[in-house]
Amino acid sequence: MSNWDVLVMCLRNMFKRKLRTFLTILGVMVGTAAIVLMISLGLATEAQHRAQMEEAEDDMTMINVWMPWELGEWCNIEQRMVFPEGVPVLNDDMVDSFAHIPGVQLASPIIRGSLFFRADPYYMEAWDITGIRPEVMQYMGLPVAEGRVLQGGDDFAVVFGASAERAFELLGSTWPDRGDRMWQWGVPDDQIPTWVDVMRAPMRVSFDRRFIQAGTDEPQPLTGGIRPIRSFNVDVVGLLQSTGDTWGVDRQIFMDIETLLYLQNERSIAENAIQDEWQFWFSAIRQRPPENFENVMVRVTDMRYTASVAETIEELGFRASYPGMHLNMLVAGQRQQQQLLAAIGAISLIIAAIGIANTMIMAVYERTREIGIMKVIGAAISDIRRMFLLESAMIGFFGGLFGVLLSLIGSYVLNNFDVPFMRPDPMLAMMGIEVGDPSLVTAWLCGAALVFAGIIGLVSGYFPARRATKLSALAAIRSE
Amino acid sequence: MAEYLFDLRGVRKIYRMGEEKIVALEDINLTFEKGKIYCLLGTSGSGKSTLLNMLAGLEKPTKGSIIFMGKPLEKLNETQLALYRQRYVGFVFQSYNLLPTLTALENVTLPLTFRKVKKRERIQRAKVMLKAVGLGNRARHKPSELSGGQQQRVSIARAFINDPQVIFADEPTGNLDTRTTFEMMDLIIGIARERNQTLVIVTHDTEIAQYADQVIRIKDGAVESITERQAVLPGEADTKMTASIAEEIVENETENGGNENEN
Repeated sequence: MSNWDVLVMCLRNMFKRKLRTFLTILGVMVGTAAIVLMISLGLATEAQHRAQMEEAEDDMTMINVWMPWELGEWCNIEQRMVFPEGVPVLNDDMVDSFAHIPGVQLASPIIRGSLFFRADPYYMEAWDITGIRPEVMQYMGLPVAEGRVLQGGDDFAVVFGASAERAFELLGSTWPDRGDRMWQWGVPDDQIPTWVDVMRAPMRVSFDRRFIQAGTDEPQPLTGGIRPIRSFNVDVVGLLQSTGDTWGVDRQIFMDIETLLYLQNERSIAENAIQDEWQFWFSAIRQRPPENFENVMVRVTDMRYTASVAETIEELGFRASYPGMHLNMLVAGQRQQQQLLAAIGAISLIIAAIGIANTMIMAVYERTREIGIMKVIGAAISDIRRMFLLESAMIGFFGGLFGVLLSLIGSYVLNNFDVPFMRPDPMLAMMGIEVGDPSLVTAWLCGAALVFAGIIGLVSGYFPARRATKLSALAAIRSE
Repeated sequence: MAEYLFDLRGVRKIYRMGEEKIVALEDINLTFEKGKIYCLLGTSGSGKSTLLNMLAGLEKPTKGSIIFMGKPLEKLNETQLALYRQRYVGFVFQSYNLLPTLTALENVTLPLTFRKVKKRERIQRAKVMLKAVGLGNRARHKPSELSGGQQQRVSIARAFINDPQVIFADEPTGNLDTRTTFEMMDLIIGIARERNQTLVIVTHDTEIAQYADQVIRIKDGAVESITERQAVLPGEADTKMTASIAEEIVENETENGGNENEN
């Protein structure tokens, strides 16, 4: 029998039992629509998630690691860190072991400190100096307005955040008579005057407060008169664009971590040389030995690894966070919920498959005599098998087709009307995340559903078809 | 020596019903020639239908061999048997066995459909065939819209459309009245003669038997007698068989079972 003849025969048989065929197709249709809709919810979430990830692609590969305790919890009165036994510390070895986690590109410690700057006739108390390994700065994804970011080999070089310059004040001026350009609320950025051309003005830096106290270069002697003021030339190699993070990155000054640690060490030497009462005069680079970093920055090679690397680091006993972490956790929760729904959809599809098998077995019983006649007048076994398999596959396929159409309608309704139980999680709105359509039916999903429904039909029809081919022509022809 | 169409050698058929063995056929040795009309005559349960089914490849002999045109049928598998029936065999049943969902024309084309004949050709051939059985104007009717005789005509057209080597007719007139019976026998034998095809009729009706060239009487699973009809011109015998000749055939049956008489 040619394929066309088999098809015609199948359609004829299906039309002969219109209601039964319709009901069976309806079952497959509902099953397919259920599973397609459930998957479409998942796809929509994934797509939205991916879009948000892409928006923050650079950041997404950065993981911030810090100690698992509140800052200062184990600080004693002398501000020395005292660690209980067994608490993991962020030292060089630990940074190295982070770098060896699969998927990690590099790991760099981060320290923070403060220094005094002078670009005559201005001075600055910079409280927000970030010490990092200069060669990793390029991976932080910070946009440069002028110059460059730090690079390997930089020592007394700094990069200014977009509004870090606003901390400069006129030498000799004191609060409340200072410029306070840093604290002007509601004034647009471009209306705040720039005092220091940081890229060009010669600049010096010191850990000694006396450096900025007078209007002259003359070192002011301490009461003890013991030590001179030490200061260092510093190059501003770059100025960052504003990231919108006015109180964060924009105010920071980036510096080589080794240089910052060196200044810290020099400060300690100076500090130890004088009496405790004079400690006030020195800048507050936090007294933290370098084997206990405040932060470690970990960069992964691809955002796919971000979540798993963060998890690994948390297992080591640290806190790890990355942009979009909360979103990730939210998505994971949603995904779980949707898997449950998809399972329900799958159950309805299994029931539909049983429906097909039942229909086909009924058809074999009903057509036993016809099968016998066809065998006697020359139908090959393969003809009979094809006839039944095609019929069940077509029931599956048409069920799938109508199911996909139904799910498209359903998806449209979900996306365009307010469906009570589909309202977005208020958490998302609180986190400032824009919520898109809840359902996304892709062409790929439609195609897969069609093929899958057809296969379900074929599989369900296999045993009935085998039964039909195994029928004895003689017995079949005698049955009534 | 011309090759026989069928050559049955020591064919036995035994059914097992649990512990019990039922012998349906015992040591049948027969030959069938091309172009002759045979009648397997016997009461119900005599084994005549079993014999027919084995000739048609619907059942396999327990022992012995059925050789069709030089090839043993019992050695063919299901696919080959389907092919055998498709190519060489036509069937006419007592209960017509038309497919109720198909029209008369479609029922007639069905064997050609299985042979993958092109649609245009098979419809053309079916129309010719339907015309030959006198149903040219009923082609679009479903079996349920046709009388018993008309349905049997469709069935005859279906049996012959393949141009088969042999047509098996199992009680072809069992469901028909006397008048239609004779019409049907004339039709079926007319076509078989015209095309020089072998016809094997199974019946318990001696009136039907008189149409045959050779009557094989079967009783209790064995060939009881073989009667050759002598010296009757084919054309005469087919259309104008009288009751007296039929009686004569019955009377002339001899005790010689088993052996084939040839002219």
